[in-house]
Amino acid sequence: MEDYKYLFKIVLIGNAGVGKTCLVRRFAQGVFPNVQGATIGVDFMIKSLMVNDVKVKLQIWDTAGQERFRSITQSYYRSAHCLILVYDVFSQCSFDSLPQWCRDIDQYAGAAIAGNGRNVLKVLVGNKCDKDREVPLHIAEQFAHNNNFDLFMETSALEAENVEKLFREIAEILVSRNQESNGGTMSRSITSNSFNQSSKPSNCFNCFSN
Amino acid sequence: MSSTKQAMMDNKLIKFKKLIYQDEVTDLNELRSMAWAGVPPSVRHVTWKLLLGYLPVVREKRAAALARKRSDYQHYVEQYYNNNRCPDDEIWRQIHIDIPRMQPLVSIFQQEIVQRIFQRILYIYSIRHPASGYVQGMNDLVIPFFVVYLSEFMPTHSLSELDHVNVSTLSEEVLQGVEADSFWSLNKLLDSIQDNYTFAQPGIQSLVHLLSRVMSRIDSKLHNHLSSNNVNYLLFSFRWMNNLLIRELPLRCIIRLWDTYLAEGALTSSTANVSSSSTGSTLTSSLLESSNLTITNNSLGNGSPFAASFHLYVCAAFLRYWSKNLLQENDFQGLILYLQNLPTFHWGDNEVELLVADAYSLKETFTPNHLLSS
Repeated sequence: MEDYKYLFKIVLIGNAGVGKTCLVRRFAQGVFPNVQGATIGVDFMIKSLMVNDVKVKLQIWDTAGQERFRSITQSYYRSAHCLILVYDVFSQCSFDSLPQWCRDIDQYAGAAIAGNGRNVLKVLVGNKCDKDREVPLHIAEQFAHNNNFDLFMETSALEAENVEKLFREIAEILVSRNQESNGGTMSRSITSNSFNQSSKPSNCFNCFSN
Repeated sequence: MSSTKQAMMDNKLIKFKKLIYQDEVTDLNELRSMAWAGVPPSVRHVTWKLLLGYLPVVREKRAAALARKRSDYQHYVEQYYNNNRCPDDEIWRQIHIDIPRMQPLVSIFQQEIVQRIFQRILYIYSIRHPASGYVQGMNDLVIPFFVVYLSEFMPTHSLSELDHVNVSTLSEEVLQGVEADSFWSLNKLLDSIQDNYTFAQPGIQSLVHLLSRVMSRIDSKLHNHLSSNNVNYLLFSFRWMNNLLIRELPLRCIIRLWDTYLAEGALTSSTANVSSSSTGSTLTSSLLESSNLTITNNSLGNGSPFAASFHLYVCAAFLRYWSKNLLQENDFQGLILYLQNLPTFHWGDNEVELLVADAYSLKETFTPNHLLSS
């Protein structure tokens, strides 16, 4: 067994081509791929980091964005600790799709929340903020607030802006949630239903940043 | 290369040339059985077109048939692409995003002229097939056809050299021909596996389920190891089905694999009474009956130019090829990362030939009784 204390499952969703895979590769491998083929189904990345002297392992599920794949990828929401919904600040179209993605989150991650008494951490990310924008920052912030996202951030996978910070904040929130609810102990198995969960309803974390 | 081997290859090429270019009527059964073991690169383009049923077997009819199909395609380009395309079309936008980021030939897809060719092929396909539309992965399926048909005009170039060819140096007529032939070949291929790309992708879901059933019989140790670590087959083999292994193997291997696929698929299409093909379909239907799945024949590619049922056995052979390495991985993450990055980069014809031989033996020895017992 490896020496990590927490293992969290993070699922990235959002329209095709918004940069989900580039975001994950920037974080997990420190690279920005020049050519990144479309993700088919789901890809996996693992990255460990230290949060307050505690080793945390993030298991990142990078899902395909195209509509045709949703019936497959939706089944992966259920056991996630965190869902990152990504849009492209340069693409109004990707922003306009967010309400549908939010409905999917409620429908496919919602059952799990009710079932085991925890809330999935909902994060909204506007990627490609190095480009000219079509989506104003304040509109996106408002959207995140109105739709109960726990965290909102703009990132640039190309310029490595806010990428590390994004995943670090997610890890910190997840660790603090688990420490609050379990007194620091939890199951290390994250697969399917074996996760040891808090019964405490979580509040909005109010940690909006930009 | 030894002189004996060279002589065998020369001899093989002479046989292909005789069948294709000298006989009045090409004997398709003979061509299939020869192509199954690999097609010499210099006659691959015409062999594939014959095996797909795109070129007539009667030699003197070929030129006219080709001219007609190419002209039909030019009409589609006018009708669907040049005149009626909505600039905000979502499908067009998606295709537009996907083409420049295609692999494995990186350089060639940066050329605008090539991007346009792929965009037209995929866009017109999607408009003419609204039930599936364009699904990511279809772009990959065009690559082998495009590369093989292009290589007809670059006979001295190897695959890796082809990546650096300046495509715009070829004449417009040549490129239009390559484009039209690639389009019609893609149609032939996708017609046989359309259920893989319609809503909820039922064809793929069935194939993934069948793969799991087959593996439980042929390598129960690996099968149990995967399931005890919660590695669901869908997680890694969805892409194997959606992209027909193109993401898992080097392109040179895919092209060699498709020699066999096209030979194998054609075998099941025009000779319905060939016993091996009926074994395949009986097997799959009994697997399906026992698992309460419903499926149309179409999604398995039976009776089609591209037998997806053979692809199923290739996937099973492919998975068990890695069995020893996978059994050494002892958790979910180790397994899934290995399965998503299988070390095939050094693979060549030898590995593919082992794979198809194993797949063939699985197909031949797997009887419905094996699957229904225990």
